Amino acid sequence: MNKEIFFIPMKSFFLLCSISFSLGIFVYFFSDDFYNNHIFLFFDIALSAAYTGFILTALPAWLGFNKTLKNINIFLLFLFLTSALTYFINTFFAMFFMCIFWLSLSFICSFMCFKTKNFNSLILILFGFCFLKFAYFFTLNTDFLKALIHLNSAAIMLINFKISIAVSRSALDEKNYKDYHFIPNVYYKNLSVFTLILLSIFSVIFSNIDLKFLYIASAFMIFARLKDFHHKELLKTHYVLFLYISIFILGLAYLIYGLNTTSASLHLIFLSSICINILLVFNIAGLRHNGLVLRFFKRTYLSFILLFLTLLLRYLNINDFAIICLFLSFIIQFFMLLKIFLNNSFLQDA
Amino acid sequence: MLITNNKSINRSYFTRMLDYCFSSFISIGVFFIFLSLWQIANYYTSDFILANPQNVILKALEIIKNYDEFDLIISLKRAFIGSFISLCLGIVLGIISYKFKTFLLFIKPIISINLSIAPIAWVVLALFWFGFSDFSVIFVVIICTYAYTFSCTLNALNDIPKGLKDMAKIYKFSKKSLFINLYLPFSLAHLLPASLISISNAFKLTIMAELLGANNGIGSKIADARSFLENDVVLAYLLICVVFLAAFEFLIIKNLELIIYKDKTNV
Repeated sequence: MNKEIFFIPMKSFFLLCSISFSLGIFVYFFSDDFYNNHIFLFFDIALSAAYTGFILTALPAWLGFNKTLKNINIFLLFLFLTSALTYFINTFFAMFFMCIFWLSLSFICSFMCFKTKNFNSLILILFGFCFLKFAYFFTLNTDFLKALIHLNSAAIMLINFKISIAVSRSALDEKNYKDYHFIPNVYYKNLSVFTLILLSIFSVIFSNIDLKFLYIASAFMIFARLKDFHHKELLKTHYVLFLYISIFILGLAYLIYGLNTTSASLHLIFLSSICINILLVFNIAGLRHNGLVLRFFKRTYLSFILLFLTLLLRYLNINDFAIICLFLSFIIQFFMLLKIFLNNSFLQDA
Repeated sequence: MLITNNKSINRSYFTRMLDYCFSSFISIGVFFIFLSLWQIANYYTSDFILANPQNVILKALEIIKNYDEFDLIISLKRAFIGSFISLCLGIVLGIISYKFKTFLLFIKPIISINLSIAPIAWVVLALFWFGFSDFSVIFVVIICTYAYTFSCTLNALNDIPKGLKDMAKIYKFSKKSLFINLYLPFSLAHLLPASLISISNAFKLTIMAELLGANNGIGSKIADARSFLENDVVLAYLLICVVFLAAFEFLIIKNLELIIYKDKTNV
């Protein structure tokens, strides 16, 4: 068995995240307290795993940090599993351990920045996550969860920006446009991130005011990001097209929520900003950091189709089928990732 | 954006227009952020001080739907006629000043005097001279905006490199070819933004002139709304003006830029 699964953050946490999302089906059908359980499972467990896996893979590469993360990974795994397992005994302690987990992750990333004398704005967002996690832990006020969704969307905008550079380079090489260079618009990225952070802050401070205009503003800021990809040379490749669709759906979700503020449309934001983008990152990072060609498998397409179906069904409040689609989507991902991770060695510099 | 050899790649008009549409989403987004801040301000004040943006939007839609009843066309007509005449006047005077330096020396002080007089003074004078009429409003628009167009035209013509003019002379360009290939592109680079500023100034001046010296038009309706303390109506009219100018820039000015300047890819 490939031991890397326990020592490489991407491998261990991506698999844990897939499992966590899949567990949603059991929580939905067999749980007494579905509401709180699904919040903990999706917000605390799945989201934390996804972020840890991605950040501890991408950040060292962005910052130039080349020390081993083996001990860090074991420590974070311990905290993560402690939180997950404690949940069955005591919710309070489970949430507390998850807060400690986020605090540790933020400080680990800050330490990387300090060591490499480099900085990445994602660190600030991580501390934002920390603050909101603690705030929710102490108050149980769902406004902090809403803020967390928007802060996550801001992080997605930052991450997508970095990913777009990598996948576009790959797309241009694949289509033999060697002398072409992709330059994404950094100002549009800044504006979309700023608007989403503003929305995150306002949804806590002005929780009693209808912020529909700010949701619509966020939607347009996200849509503007799509301008970068309007080149047939890029959109011919399926992974750039998926990236384009994921950003478009996120913008659409914000627009729908701005025009029709319901729980169903808020779930659209969650599913589009978190699930679809997590799936995209899993596949792009999973393939690249394991030395494989950036070409999605047929099962990946099926996962995406199921996830889009989840979005549609959840919006139409056909929740039973929505949760089944979500389960199938991530269980397919789990087995696919497991196969990739077991058969290939990890590459830090992808 | 894709670049090759430090230059953005050539793309069709349609693609560049699509890009422009998407980049205009930023402006729309900023506008909605402003609406959101307005909504928050409305929550902490009252409808009397700052009307609810949602009500204002609904009111604006109602005004647009019943444009005849709310005098939209009258004000638009005045603003357009005024700005069109001032644009023509400014261009003609600019060309004459470029050709004849004596005329330039003669007209410069007049322009300076014109610029130093406050528009509100022209409104009052127009009322004395022409009374409550279309002409008084149009006169104010012309007198206050032609100087800017004149300056832009003159700068545009003075900016044409001497080398290009000499080359045109050597190759014996026809007058038509000289105009199409040399004077027009250089002038339009200055005149397109100038026409947008001219139109927006014309709009503001039209409303101001109507507010003080007309019995119909948007300005007059705003004066009525002020009397009846209808805050939402005033803001609705302002919103219509903003949207109209944005539409004018998007549909006309930007399109012309995209057609004329094929190399200008980054909007």
